[in-house]
Amino acid sequence: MPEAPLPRFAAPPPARFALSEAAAAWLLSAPAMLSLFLLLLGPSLALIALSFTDWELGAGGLTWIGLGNYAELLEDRTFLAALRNTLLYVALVMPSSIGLGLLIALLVEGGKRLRATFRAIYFLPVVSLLVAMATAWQYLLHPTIGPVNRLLALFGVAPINWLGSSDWVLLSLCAIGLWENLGYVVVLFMAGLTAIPSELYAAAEMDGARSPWARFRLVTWPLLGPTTLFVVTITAIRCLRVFDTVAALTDGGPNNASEVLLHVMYKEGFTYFRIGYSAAITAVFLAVVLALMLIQTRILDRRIHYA
Amino acid sequence: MLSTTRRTTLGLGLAALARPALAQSGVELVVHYPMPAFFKDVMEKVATEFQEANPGIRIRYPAPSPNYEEGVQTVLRQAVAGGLPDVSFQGLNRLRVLTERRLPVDLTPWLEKDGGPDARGWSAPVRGLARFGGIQAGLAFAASNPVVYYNLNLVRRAGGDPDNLPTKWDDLLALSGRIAALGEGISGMHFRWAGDDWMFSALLYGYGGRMLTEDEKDIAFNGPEGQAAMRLLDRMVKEGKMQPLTVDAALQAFYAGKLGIFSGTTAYIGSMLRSIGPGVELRTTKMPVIDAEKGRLPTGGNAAVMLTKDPARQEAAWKFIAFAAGPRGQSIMTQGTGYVPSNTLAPTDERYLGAFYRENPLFRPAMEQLPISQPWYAFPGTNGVRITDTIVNNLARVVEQRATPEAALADMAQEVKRLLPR
Amino acid sequence: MAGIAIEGIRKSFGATQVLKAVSLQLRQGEFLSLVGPSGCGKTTLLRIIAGLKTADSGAIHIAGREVTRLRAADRDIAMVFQNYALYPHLTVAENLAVPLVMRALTPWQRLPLLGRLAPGTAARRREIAARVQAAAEMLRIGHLLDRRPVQLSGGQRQRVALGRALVRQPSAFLMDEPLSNLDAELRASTRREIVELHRAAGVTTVYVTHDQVEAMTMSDRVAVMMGGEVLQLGTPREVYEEPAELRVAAFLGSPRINTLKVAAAPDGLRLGPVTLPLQAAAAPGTRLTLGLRPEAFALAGEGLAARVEHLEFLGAELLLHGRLAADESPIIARLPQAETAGLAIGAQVALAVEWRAALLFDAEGKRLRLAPQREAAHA
Repeated sequence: MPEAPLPRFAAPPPARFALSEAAAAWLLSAPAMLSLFLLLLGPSLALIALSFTDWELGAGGLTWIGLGNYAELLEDRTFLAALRNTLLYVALVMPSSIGLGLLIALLVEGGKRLRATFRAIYFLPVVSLLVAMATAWQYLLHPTIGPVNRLLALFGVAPINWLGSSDWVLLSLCAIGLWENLGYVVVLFMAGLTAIPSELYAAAEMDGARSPWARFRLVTWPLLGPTTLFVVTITAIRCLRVFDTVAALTDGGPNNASEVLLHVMYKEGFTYFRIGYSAAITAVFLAVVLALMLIQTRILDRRIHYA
Repeated sequence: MLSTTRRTTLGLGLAALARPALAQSGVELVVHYPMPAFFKDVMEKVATEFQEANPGIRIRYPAPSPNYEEGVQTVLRQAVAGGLPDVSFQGLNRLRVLTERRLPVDLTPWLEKDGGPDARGWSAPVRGLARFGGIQAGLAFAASNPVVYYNLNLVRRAGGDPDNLPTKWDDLLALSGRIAALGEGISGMHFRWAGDDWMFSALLYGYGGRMLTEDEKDIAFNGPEGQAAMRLLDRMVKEGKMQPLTVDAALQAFYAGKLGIFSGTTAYIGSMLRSIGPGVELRTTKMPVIDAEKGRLPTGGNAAVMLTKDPARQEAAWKFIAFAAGPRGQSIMTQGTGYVPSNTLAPTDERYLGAFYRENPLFRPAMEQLPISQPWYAFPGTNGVRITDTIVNNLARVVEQRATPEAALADMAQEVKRLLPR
Repeated sequence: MAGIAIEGIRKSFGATQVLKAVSLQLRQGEFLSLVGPSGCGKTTLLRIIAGLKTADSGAIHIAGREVTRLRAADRDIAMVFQNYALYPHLTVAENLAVPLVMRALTPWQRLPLLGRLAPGTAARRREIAARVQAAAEMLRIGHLLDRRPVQLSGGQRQRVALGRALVRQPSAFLMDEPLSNLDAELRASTRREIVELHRAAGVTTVYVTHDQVEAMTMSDRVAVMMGGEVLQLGTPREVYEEPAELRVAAFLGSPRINTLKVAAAPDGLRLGPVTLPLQAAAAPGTRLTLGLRPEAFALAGEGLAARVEHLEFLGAELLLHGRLAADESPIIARLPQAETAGLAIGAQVALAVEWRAALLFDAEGKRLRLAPQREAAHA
């Protein structure tokens, strides 16, 4: 082949172009950045600013009270109960729904038939309207006419006041939360399981992993890592956000036994009109969420990304 | 919201076709109301009849608020952001917040016209329901007070006399205890103590007590009346075998024929009639009398509040309020809900509700209790609802038998005191 | 000691018979390729040998031991998978150690951290590490031990997969198309390496491939499979030069063998109007198939007349695509480059045939014996 001079267009573009390219980049990303600020960062900053004021809905003005709202939170029995209940709820519902969800996903995925049917059944609670389903739960858990207590009565168990007793109400809500989250977890894990190459199980079998547990430890669990991280994150946030069952079934009662963060936030903001105080609760809520996310990404992220 | 607006506009358009001359120079009043489940049909009917009687004024309803809390929140928000309605129906216990924000227009000048309020059926007790901060903040539209619902089938099985239902708490508690003893998952009674402080105030007022001192600087519910009220609540559990049910659970049990006695607002009548099963024979009575002299009952319900500051619109708004709270408007409201009319002319007049009350005895007890009804107390300052929750939380401790009535009341007093304005 | 004995293995998926009573005997240390088009049942057979699938009937013996009812983990065999099946979360060293750890350590000893406290764990771990090191060095991946599979090239992953199979010194190796994901150059060099490793280790090996070059170059013997049956088992030379069936002849060899429709006649075989100098043991008029490999042709002054339609230049050789004048059937001839000067598309050529290499098949595709005649083809 005869030797040809290098084509001109391979040369770096003149500086003038570079400048306008940068400008174009800013211009093109401006809508996204603007909406990011307007829709996400802006409101969050406004919320944090509000949490330092005593603004009440409809009141003429507002005063900067610094950490006043936060100081009040520390002495607010309702808020402290809500914080404790919410963390307890997360601590109970998250591991149980993940553990049980993984088990069910493994069983369903291990079975040969009716996979789609099971998937649909378990996903049903996720797509149903929780407030509507709450009515069903209210009936099921009714202390005198509820089927649950009638069933227990067959085994000689004395009726339990599931939603009316402060001993049971949080556990009952946790059970409903488990029911609500389980399907979601099952479907996510099933998706994760189908992504594991079957050759790895064959390899594990050849390598001497005899028991299902050994294969689970060697292949399933590590390869589900990214799925698990996602499930943990999503479930934690869903649990932290528990609200509708409380609002529909117990209204936080009795005596704050089922009070949770978002419900208190809602009450303070929308029933008591104390927007500033409500903003402070929201800020605490956001802090808890952020802390949880940080811990998760720190601990888990490092260990599960192979790609 | 859109569909309502459209439908209303369409209706108005048809009306305009029929009577073009009248519709042209009219005023359009924007009227906001809460709880469409109870009031939607009533409000539509009131508007239709009002517009027929007052050509030239059109009524437009924006989206109703689902409950009193959101209703007042909507108005408070609109006060800041703009878009206030001309008239809003607000919960009686929410008027105080609005008054403190200086939103309602004082209705006193209008009430004085046309021969004075008493002649038009708005007696002093009726007016008192919506008087706050020295002004007539609104005019009561729907009133309610607590009554007792019985399932006569269970009463009979427990050996009670359906035609001689208890008029004293001692008898009621004993009957409840007997019903609870029937077994088969049957409970005796439920006193609707949860949700808000309304039913607690029914006991407190029953003993002649009051929530705060006259000057509203200190609590007054921890005196002998309050202690008696708490002890009565305690006896409901101990003697009446009341279980700590949520309100919904109690209502469901009552519908299913598994609860003998339910005590709560008369406003439940409508939904009771719709929901009770075939095993329930419903009867209502007045609340048992505690103190024949000093005893009072709280009033729930809502009032029409004038919000417009425009004199021309105020005139039209008053016409609407007067119609809604007048005998015709009250007839429509009473027959469409379980509420009590807040107009003294309506119930007795044969043109209005005379026949209705004769034929519907379930509605009667609440009406008969009107003379001893007094306003639902609204706490001063910004912590009103929190005070309510504090009270309910301490009631829960008694109902769950986790605290003695005395201890719960002491805690309640201490906690509420901190929430009062200093 | 025996290698692997496969006796009458049948397997059906639903109504489809995937394996129809397959039997094979492997000598100890033998390298046998299962070759055939996709869907011929070779992978299923391999998985049945491995114990990953169960046969409907039949028996498997490995190293003199019946393993038919044993599960994979207990058959003392190692397998290399097509996609290598490396554990992505483990380093190369950990991947290599898995087969040893799974067998040498109890579940208790395998526990992270806690397992170290169990008696004897440390010594076993040291031994495992030494064997991993040895295997890695044999495969020249010692410098990769701390990497994760995702950080390796395809060839490196392939070595790790081989290493994982080698590290335990099993009584048989099974390989499922281990080279199919490598590029051509790497494939050629790895072919040789696997053969050398096999020679060094002397372990009985079953090698599944659809690539006839791999099968021919690597194996001691080749089993050609089609439709769930072993059509022929023999050395690479046997199956190529003396195919038992037309299907075997057609599968092996590239370009494909030329097949001509001929009919038996008293004086030879009839190809259209031409009589070929071949004598078949068949009644006159019997329809037969004649197979001529592309290298059986040579350019000559006389022979079968053909028209050149296409020419492929391969360097040392040239592929002539043409059409026979006799019956218009297409043929491919592989000719030495040196003899083809001046060939052009459209040219008429005469192709001399080495009749001794001709293969004759009956209507069912079974091989027939034939004897070459003295005379050359004549019109």
